[in-house]
Amino acid sequence: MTKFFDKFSHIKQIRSNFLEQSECNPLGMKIEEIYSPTQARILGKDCIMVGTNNYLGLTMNEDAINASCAATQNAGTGTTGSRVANGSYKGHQALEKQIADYYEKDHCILFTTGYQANVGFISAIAGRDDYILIDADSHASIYDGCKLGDATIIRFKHNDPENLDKKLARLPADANRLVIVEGVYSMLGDLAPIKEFVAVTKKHGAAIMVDEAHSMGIFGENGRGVCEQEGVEDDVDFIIGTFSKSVGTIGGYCVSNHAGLQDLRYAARAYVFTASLPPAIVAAASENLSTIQNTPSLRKALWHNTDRIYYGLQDMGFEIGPDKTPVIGVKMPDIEGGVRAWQILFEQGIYVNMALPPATPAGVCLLRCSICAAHTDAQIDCILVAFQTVYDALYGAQEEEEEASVKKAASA
Amino acid sequence: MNKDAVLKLIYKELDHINDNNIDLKPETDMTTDLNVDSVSVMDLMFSLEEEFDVVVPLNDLADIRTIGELSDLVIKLKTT
Repeated sequence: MTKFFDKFSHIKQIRSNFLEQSECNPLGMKIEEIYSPTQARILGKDCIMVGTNNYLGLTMNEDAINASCAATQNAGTGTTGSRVANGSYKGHQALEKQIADYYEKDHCILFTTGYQANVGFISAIAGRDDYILIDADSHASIYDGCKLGDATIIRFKHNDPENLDKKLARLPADANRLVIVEGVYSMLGDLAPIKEFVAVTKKHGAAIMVDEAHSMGIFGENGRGVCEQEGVEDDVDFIIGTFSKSVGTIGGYCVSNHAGLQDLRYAARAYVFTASLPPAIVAAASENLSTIQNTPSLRKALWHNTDRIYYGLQDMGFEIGPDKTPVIGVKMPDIEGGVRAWQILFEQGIYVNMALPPATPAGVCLLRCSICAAHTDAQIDCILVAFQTVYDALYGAQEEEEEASVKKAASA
Repeated sequence: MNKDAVLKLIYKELDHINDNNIDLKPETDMTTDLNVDSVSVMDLMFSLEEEFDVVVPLNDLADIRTIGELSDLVIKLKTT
């Protein structure tokens, strides 16, 4: 019986190495108290949170909290049923309309999580004779959706429209072909060349889906994401989004002008065979979505903070992602160095996420920072000071050695 | 299509992760003998696709364990 678990021995080994190396395990942090979108107590220490996905700081939006409490009082703590049974309340339908209107699309379907939106949509949309082409660095929910469906799955090189072009050219032109990319990639924060991907997709007569999980609320005049920013919304067939980042709660959705999207209410198993979102979540998502629409100053604050941290880390000498976005993946020399760096930050009251392969691209160890509109300038000062300490600890001695050898060579 | 050419490229691509210097043969199990991770598999597939002008569906990789099975798959994809 226990042999079932043998296949996990490799990952278990990595985790136990962490525990041996670290008094406080970066992969097993327990948050004891939340003070604000950017402050919490962890292991008795007050920390500035720089690893949340709470990009606009809306988890503590008072309007959303009040609406959420009122919804619970009015409709209870849960729906206890699927959207296709007893779980479709007036609030769910109103929220779908609100999201569709926000994106200026005809149709929207709500899912209970962002993960389920990808798994439900992708596994249902393409059948046995269809093809799905995914970016190699796609999120696990995209891979899992592919695995659950019957389509033929083709992977193209990360952020490489030329490679996608070659792959599409090798497939039957009369088959249904769906290209899937993300607006912003969740580990390094790199942006998809969305215009180029859309152009290649349309050239071959294929369809395209964009997952805007880490770009909604952040990019575009109305915060609709990179498709809005790049002016390609009309050419994108399906947009997937989540409430668990900028919207500050949980849930997922798909919007489209294709009327067939509504058929997924019967075909997407992750929609049919799970309970719908609780009333409190629906109310909070609705309030926060309105706030995102009506408060461009939140995006301005977020970009101000992102500028400071992205360029601050770059100037220090850290290797970070190629694009300036509120997701900043700081590359560590190795896992040991990453744990050390994480501890140095934590000792100074800075919490970031530690990300390891296979969750990271190219097998790198990352300190993943996510910036929040609610970070104050004083907090950003603290974050940058702490990262300077990390840089000195990791690379200071090496730089001194290099300088000494240059001087020695010059004097020889 | 020449199977030896496919095998030769697979051996070349796997060489840099063959830390224990295992003698690479068609029977070599890439998962258990070489401990090939998902990133290396991905890189290997991109190289094979470029070199032999094929598309290797992810669905077909689930059943592949040995170098010989992978070369047979590439040849099958090229000829169908």
